[in-house]
Amino acid sequence: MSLRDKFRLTGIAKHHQGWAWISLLSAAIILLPILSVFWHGLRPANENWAHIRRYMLWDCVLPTVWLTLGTGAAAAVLGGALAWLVAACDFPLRRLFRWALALPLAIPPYIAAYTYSNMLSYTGIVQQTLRSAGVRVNQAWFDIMSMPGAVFIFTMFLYPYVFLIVRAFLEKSGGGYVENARLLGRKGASLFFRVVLPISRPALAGGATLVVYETLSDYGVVNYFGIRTLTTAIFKTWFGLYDIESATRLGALFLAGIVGVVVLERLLRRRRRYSETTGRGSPLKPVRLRGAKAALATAACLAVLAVAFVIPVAQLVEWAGWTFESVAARSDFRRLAGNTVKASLIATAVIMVVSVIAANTVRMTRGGFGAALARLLTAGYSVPGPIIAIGVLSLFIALDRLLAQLYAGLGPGTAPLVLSLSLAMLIAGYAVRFMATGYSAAEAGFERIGMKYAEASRTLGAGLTRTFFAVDLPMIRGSLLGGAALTFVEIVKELPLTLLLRPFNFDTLATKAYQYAGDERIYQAAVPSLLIIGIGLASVFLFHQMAGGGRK
Amino acid sequence: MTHVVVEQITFNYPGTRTPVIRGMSLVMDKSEIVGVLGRSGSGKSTLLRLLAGLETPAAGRIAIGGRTVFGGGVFVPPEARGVGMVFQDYALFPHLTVARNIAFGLHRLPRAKRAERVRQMLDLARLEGLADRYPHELSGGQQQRVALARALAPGPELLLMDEPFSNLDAELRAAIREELRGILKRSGTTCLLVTHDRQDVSAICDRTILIGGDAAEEAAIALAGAAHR
Repeated sequence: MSLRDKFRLTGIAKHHQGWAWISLLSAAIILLPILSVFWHGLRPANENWAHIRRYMLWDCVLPTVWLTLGTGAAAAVLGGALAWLVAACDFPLRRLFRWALALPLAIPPYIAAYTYSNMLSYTGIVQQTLRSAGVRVNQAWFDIMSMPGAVFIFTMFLYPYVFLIVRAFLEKSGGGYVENARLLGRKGASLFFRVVLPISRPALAGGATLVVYETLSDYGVVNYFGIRTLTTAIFKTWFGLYDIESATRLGALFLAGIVGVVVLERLLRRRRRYSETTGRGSPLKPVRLRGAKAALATAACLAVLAVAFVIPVAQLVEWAGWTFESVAARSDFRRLAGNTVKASLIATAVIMVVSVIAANTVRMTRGGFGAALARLLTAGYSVPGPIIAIGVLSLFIALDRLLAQLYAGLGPGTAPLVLSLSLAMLIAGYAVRFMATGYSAAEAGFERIGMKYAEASRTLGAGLTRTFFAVDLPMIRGSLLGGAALTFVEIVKELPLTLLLRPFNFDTLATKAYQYAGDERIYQAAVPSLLIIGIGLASVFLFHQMAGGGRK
Repeated sequence: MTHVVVEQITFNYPGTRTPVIRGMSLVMDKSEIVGVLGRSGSGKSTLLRLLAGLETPAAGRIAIGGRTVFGGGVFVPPEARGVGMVFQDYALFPHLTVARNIAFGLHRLPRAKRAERVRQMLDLARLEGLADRYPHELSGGQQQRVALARALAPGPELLLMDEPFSNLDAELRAAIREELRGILKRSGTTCLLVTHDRQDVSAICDRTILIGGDAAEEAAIALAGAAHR
């Protein structure tokens, strides 16, 4: 049986294998960096490894596990509770909270981390206010640069992933179950724990998984707070010991752990299939709360919104006011913004083109091949940024070695490393990590229009390629633009990948903000941070529009 | 004169064992209108998709207009089969006007001829004055006629219609059936029409094929067909 038969291309795709090959090639390029990390991890260890294993490994594995578990659980509880409150109850300002509670997503956790740690420091606004009121405080109360502090930061700024997914699920299909349970005499806590919690478990798990991926990928918060995790260990091995080999080994171990967790989660979920099979339910109608209960609900939402958005943004605005002249007016700030936009735009364009080609191939292809292709293309999302960075770097160095002959032929003065010092490396890293964002937008667009327009076009004599440009592309343009905007924002916010893969002296808003913060120049960090948050707000707004949240 | 030949075709969807269509054969004359009647799930829409080249049979042979389009290692893709199709929900391109929808399949004609052909089709399907409308600005009956005009414009060897009346209300249906038969006969089109409604076939078709039904039903159809002739 030939390879072609195994793919089981349908009649439609059979004569247009160009599309299939482009998609396969893209999937391979995306997978290569991840596979290369595994490959290098299998090679014999060097002399540093014994030292790393003895003094670093366990010290960073346990905190990583605690941080991830703590954040995942806390974000699930907070996000789930807020989602239930907003979806099932009606209270003053509910319609505002429905979307406003997603706003913390606009603030990258590393920005929140240095904002809060400075606000809570001895000279920060909180302690100053308390002192001027004559209250003497114990410094230990305000120590946010700790494990609980990190869990707090991640939870407050990542819970919206859970909130959005669970809220959408409850609003769309929770109605039937909840109404039935009420008719059967359940209410209050019993209703919540016996019915709502079990039916929303897949949504809760989906949201919590995203929170976990983000937490694992973080470098900014944990490094600023001085918490040892696998990400900081990779950075330290890379830039402290200049030992990329051992850093790769750490990355491979880390990756093996993540793959293990993902497989475990799949296995566990397989047995819970029933919770998803019921399909479409009816929308949930909120119940009106009265008196003290209503006031309590409003107060709770207000408190979360204040802590997770209003207070840090207000503080950043104040600091930005002090330093605006000295930071934003400088000519290199314009270069910074230009760099950010340039790198993000190129990467977004690459991602969207590959996504559209691949999504079109997948929908033309039945059976395992399409599903596998989609899974491979989006694998990068669950891999922490630093690991992708290592994979991409080792790949580019290998490429440079391969091309060394060619460089030598170009002239004696040419550097031996060309590709691995260029912007191409950073773009490749972004593409691997954020392909999933663009791909799901393209996939959603194709799903919405279905196959019938493409089939009609085919029977009218247009081939696959003409069909794509004349029919499909104009019809999914909206989804693609939305997906491109989301991808762009994700890239603008990304810190660890950018820190590791940027060309020498290439700064973006994210790296500059982080560098200011690391140099204890928090006030200067406020201006680039606010710019990032502003771009992030646009994405939250877009997401809200695209998910149809604007209705109701 | 034999125009369409389907010989012993078998089809099953990937990943399933039981064939939707097993060893089916069918012959159509030129300019003949044939109705395929069957319950939902009997494989009648699949038959159309196989003829159009949107699905590939597991075995058998299909020839249209004297040319083998499937079988013996040959597979002609849908865009090269010369087959027109009217989809159940019409699938009119929402971003194109009526005229540009109809012109979509005429890209190989020179510009002047293309405009001429579009005008002819607008005439034939009685769509005068609607050329610049978008599909969502049309009534159900008008949309159906645009879909028909679009499928007929390239002059297909064979026209396939999938439940052409299912989206129209009963009153409109009766009027449009007569109209459709008129248009098809005037243009001399060979047409295979799939439906679950017996009245559709008795009003339009020259001949009826039943798939996936039982004997009693078959007898009733034969009678209805005889009455029509």
